[in-house]
Amino acid sequence: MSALRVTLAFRVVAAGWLLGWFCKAGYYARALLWDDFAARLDVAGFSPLVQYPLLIAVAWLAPLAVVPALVWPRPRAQQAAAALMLVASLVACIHLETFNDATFVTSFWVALWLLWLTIVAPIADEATTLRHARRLAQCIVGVIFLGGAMGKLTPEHIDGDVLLHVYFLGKDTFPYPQLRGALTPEHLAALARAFSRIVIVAELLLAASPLLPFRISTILGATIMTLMIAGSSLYLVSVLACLLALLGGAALLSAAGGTRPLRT
Amino acid sequence: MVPRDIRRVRVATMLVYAIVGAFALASLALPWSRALQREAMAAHQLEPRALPRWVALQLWPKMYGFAHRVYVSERPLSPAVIAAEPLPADVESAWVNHYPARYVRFDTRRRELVAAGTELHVVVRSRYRGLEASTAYTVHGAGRRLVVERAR
Repeated sequence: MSALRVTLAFRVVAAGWLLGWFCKAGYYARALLWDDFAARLDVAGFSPLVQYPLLIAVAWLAPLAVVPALVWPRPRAQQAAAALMLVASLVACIHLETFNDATFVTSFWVALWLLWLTIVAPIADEATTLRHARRLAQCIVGVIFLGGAMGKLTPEHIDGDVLLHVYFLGKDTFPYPQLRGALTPEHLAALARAFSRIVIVAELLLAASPLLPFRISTILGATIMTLMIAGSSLYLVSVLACLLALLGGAALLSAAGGTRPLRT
Repeated sequence: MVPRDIRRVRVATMLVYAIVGAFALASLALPWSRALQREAMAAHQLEPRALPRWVALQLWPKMYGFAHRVYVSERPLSPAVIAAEPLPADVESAWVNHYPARYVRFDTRRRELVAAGTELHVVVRSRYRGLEASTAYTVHGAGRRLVVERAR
């Protein structure tokens, strides 16, 4: 596979990954670099390792070191950058200061794809790399939304109770206060139920990504994820930016031109 | 490709497929497996687990699933108190999209809590297909730490 295509895909995916990782920097910079040191968390029963403030502060900042690999693309630098992204997201997934943020779960799975690409692309033939790069990207999108969809197959989601309370009654951002003002409680509950079912169906469609042709799953994935961001909150950018970039990067592997051989 | 490279490509590729496949199977089995439901519930409830198990649970994509509610008060929260409708005025409550136990961190007012030394009581409840879990925590400042303990 040409170095140009791999570099282009690497840049797109890594840039989207970094966008998601750092787009809540306003919150995390203060929480992880200041508050956690001033008032350290001590949760009984958990290893001190997953509560150590310095560990998560370093893990959160570490992906800044990925930037040089975007600017000066060398196979070894790309591999090291992808490995760093994988380790940083693994730490963020298990650390008690960040364990709840889905950003780091999606980041982990996308970093795994990037590491695979940077290991395989320099040595595999183009057809093999392309076939598995696309299929693995579809599988990763699929497994992430499969987990979300299966977790919602419970009466509280199917009947809309969770969406009603978390969003329609619980949020003070547009359009929820307006909806509360305009609709009766019964209509609000019916709307929440309808939206909840739409979300479950949308997640099941994304979960089926590996079963669909790559082009269709990419268009479907990009459309649904963009609608999720628009319909939920911009905070979802942090969770979905890396997945959108993953689909874009996998698509670019076959779409981009260039025949320069990889320097290994 | 030389044979060594072919082997490396095959191993790396199959390994990633195997990891993704294992997690996909766990998700597919979730609605029917009480054991998996309990494990996922434990992660949402912040139940201590051995590190390798905690790692696996955290990498398992399960965002925005299950139904969760959290209750916070300065007094201990008995089942009768959190079952009351409406809730007493000194009990705060919220529905949470996932990982309700994150509330024990008090992210937005941790420094104030630690400085004041106030003890707070938190109950997190999760439900999924008839399975229900509830965990009570006490949270207080000690030195420069926010100490979180499961209530006995």
